[in-house]
Amino acid sequence: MHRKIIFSFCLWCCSTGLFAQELFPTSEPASNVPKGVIGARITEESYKEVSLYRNMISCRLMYGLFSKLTVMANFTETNHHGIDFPANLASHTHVGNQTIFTSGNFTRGVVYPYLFTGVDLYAKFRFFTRDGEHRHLRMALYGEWSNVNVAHDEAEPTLMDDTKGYGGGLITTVLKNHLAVSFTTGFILPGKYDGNSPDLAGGPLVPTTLTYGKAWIYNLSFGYLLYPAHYHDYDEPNINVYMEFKGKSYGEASIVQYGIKSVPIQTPLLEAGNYIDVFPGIQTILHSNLRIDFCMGFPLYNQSYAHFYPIYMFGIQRYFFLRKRK
Amino acid sequence: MIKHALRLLSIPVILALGSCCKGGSGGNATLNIAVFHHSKPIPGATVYIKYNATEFPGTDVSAYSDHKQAAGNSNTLTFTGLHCGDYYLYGVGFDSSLVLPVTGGIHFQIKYSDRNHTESTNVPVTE
Repeated sequence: MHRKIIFSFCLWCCSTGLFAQELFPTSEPASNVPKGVIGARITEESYKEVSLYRNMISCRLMYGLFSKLTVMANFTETNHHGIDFPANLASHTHVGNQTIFTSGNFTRGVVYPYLFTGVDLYAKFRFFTRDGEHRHLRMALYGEWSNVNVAHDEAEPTLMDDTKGYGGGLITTVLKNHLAVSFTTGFILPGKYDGNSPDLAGGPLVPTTLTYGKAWIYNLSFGYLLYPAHYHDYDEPNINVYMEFKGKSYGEASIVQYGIKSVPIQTPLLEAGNYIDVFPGIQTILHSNLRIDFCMGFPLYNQSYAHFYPIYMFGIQRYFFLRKRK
Repeated sequence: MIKHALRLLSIPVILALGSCCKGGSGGNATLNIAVFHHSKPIPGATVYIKYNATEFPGTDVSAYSDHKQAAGNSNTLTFTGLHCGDYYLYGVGFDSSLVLPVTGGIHFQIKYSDRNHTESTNVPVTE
């Protein structure tokens, strides 16, 4: 059993050396973690919002459950949001006998403490493989579940750091010589957040439920193996460059206050939207195992209201192979 | 493969066993409730309670499990003998300064660790 795992790990090292350019910094390729191998990844993502930095620190554990099935768990801590919604997200005024509910442009750059936001579980099943010499075509289905529970205050859902819910989709990865191209398309069915908003008149916190928009994602990633041009041994470091286009379309959010009052959406932060960001990145892989990558995100078409720009992402990842217990 | 499948299946089973609270009567928890419109107390308000509910059951009060009414000079009322679990509270009152009825609902959860305690919450209402 132990020999089998080491053998599969060596095979994977070989494939990592040859196919490292498909280890995209922000997207998953259709390829899997080999059976019995554990991976650990730490990612740090930052962007400046007004005068402070929003950070997300994510720890990912990966496991090759079967040769075609990889499972992952992400544990995330962020200072993106608090437990309660910000003031002015939704409010109402009294005009004579009428009550007018409004949703507004609330203050950005509010200081929030770091919170453990929850767990995101991810499974990827590779159902199609056509491998050749220095080339392959692989396709995989993925499913995702998140119990992230923070007072996210924009319509756009993101399972790992902002919203709970489900997701799934299809990944297609093509590799030929030094170039890898991967297309991911999928959906997000976000849950809602039951929280509270401050009462502007000084009363008790107002129960507020925010239901986020359903989303489609469409990511196109390119990776290019820059160094080495030809392998001499698998301890040689790899250098890969990436260009990733990450797109999302999402629906309008809805707000209910006091359990019964539907609040009209009057801010672009909560309206339906779509955008494409571009993430150029660079990566090195040492000893065919230790992966270090860095990328930055910029708006290409429209923009996301869930984060500011530029986004800085740093990741470090390593695989471990299990020893059989006696 | 069977071992892996059993390991994966055990996770939801353990989670299901951990959540053994079901809101309802016959327990030892007490829930004190105050009804406010903004910062203004609403005396004489009625609060309807729906056991084991997290979502608004609607304005038809016959759909609720129980109700209590605050005294005419008070905005507070109490439900006793509750189990730990989920409850939905729906407040109905009258704001005499606006001369308008006011209503509002809120989900409240009594945790397992508080099953023998007295809990407090506000029910904010609006016109």
